Amino acid sequence: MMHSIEVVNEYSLKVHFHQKKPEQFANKVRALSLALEAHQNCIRGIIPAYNTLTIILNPNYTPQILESRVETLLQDLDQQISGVASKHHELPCYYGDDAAWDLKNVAKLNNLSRDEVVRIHCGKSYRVFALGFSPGFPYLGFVAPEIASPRHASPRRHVPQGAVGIAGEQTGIYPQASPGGWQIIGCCPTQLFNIESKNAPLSKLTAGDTVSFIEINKDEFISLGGILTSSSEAKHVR
Amino acid sequence: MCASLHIVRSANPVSPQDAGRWGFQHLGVGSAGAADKYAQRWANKLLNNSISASTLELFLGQTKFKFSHSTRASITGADCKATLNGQALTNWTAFDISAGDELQLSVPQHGIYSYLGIRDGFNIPRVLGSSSLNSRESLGPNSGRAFGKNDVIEYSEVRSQQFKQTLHWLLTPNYNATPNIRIIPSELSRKTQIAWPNIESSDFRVHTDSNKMGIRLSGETLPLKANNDAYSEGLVEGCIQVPPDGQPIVLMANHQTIGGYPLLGCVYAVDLPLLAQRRPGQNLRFIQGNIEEAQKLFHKELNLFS
Repeated sequence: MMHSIEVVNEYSLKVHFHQKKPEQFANKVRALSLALEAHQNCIRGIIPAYNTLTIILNPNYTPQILESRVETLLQDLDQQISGVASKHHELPCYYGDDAAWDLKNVAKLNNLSRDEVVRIHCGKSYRVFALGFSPGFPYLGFVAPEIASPRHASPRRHVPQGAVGIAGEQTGIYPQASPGGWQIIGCCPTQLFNIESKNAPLSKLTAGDTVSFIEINKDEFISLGGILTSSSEAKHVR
Repeated sequence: MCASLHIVRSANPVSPQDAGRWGFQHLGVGSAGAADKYAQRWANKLLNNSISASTLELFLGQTKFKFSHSTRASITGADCKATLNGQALTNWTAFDISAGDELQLSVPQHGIYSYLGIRDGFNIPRVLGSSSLNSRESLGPNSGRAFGKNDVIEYSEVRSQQFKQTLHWLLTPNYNATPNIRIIPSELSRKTQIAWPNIESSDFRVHTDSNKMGIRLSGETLPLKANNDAYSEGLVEGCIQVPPDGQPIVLMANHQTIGGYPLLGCVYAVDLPLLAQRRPGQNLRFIQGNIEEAQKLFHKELNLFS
C-alpha cells in the first residue's frame, strides 16, 4: 500500500504517504490537498508536512466517515497521470557578514569557503515541504549534503525577520522575528506572511511550491525593504 | 449602545478567546482558543451566547473590571472568589450587571484559568476569522497583544433583569483532584508495543517549564523512538510528544502546527481542560484509552454545547 490513514484523535486524521522519494510524496500531498478543497464543509484545516497530510475535521463529521472519502479520493488520484502544477519562487537573499551570522561557521564545518557555501545554497531549487513552526515559515528541502549543518545546541532568543537558515538538510526562512535554532546564513527581504494587505496573499509560499535563492548585495537588500539586526543583540539561550 | 469594560487593574495579561482560529493551519497558523475549553464554553452557554462569542481568559485572576453599561456576565473556570461591588459571587454563574458595576477577581486557590463571558460576546475585532489571541505567534486583536491595565474592551449594552444562574455542581470540575488523563494511543505506540501498565502506574508531575503552548511532564521515561529518517508532521491539541529525554510534552492551545518528535498518542479532548488547569508541581495519571470512547465523550459534550 502506498499510503495509510491514521485516526489521530476525535476530529483529525493523518494520511501517510509511503513513497520514499521526496518528489513523489510531496506531489501526493499536494494533489490530495487540492482534491480536499472540494470538501470544505467537512474540513476545518489541513496540515501538509513532507510525507503526511493531517486533516482537521469539522466536529460534526467523524474521522471514520472522512477516512472512506479520503480513500476514494486517493484511488482517483492514483489514476491521474498528469503531475500537479506548483509555483516556483526566486527569492533574493543577502549573504553579507552583517546578516549571515553563522555563514563562517557553516563554511568551516563543511571545509568550504563562504563564497562556496553561498554558491551551493543558490545552486538548486528547493521544495516547500511544509509551512509551520510559525505563520508562513517554510521548511525547504533538501540542501546539498556539502552544506548541511546541524542546528545550534540551544536556540538564539532572537532571530530577525527574513533570516535564512540551515538545519540539517533543510533550509528555511523566518517570516517574523522569533527565537530560533537554525544556522543563519543570510537574510531575505521579501515579506512571506502578510496579514495587513488585502491584495497580497496571506502567505507567499504554499506547500508544494519550489524556491531558489538569488544572491543580492547590501544596497539591493535595503532597497527591497531589508532590515539588518546586529548579531550581538541575539544571545543564545542558556 | 456601545458599552465598554475598563480593566482597572490586572496582575496578569487578559486574553480574548473565542472558538479558535481555523482554516489557516496549512500556513503555520495555530488554532489558539481557550486553554480550558470546557470552562470557556460554559461562560458563553450560561448566557445563551453563540459558541463563537468572544470571552476573556484570565490567568491566575487578580483583575478588577468596571462596566460602563448594563449587561449580563458570567464567570467560570478557576474560582477567583469574585465579588460584584464587594458582594460575593458564586463561580460558574451568570449574573446581571448595572452601569458602573465593579467586578473583582482574586487569585484562585485551585486551577489557573478563569473566563469572563458577556451577553452576545465582547465586540473584539477578528484577525484571520477569530478574536482569539495566540500569544506564541503574537497574532490576534489589539496588535497581537494581551489586554492589561487601563485597556478598554467594547460590548453591547443589554437590559437584563434575571436572577443569577449557577451551573449545577455535578457539572463543575474539581481542579484540586489528581486527574486521570486518558490517551488515544498513536500508531507508533502500537508498533513500538509501548508498555502501558508502566505508564499508568507512574506519577507524572507538571514541570515549571509548562505554559499554554505545552505542558511538560516529569515522570517515567517513555521509551518511544521514531525512525531517524522520520519527517516532521502535523499536530493537534492534546498530542503527546516524546523528545529525546523521554519526558512527555502535551500540546495545548497555543501549540505549533508541525513538530518532529515521536508521538505517544493524543489526550482525550474532554480531558484537556483538567490538564490545562494543573499547576506546576501538581501530579496527574495517564490512562490508556481508545478512540471509540474518546469520540463518544467528545460528541456527548458537543451536543451539550450546541
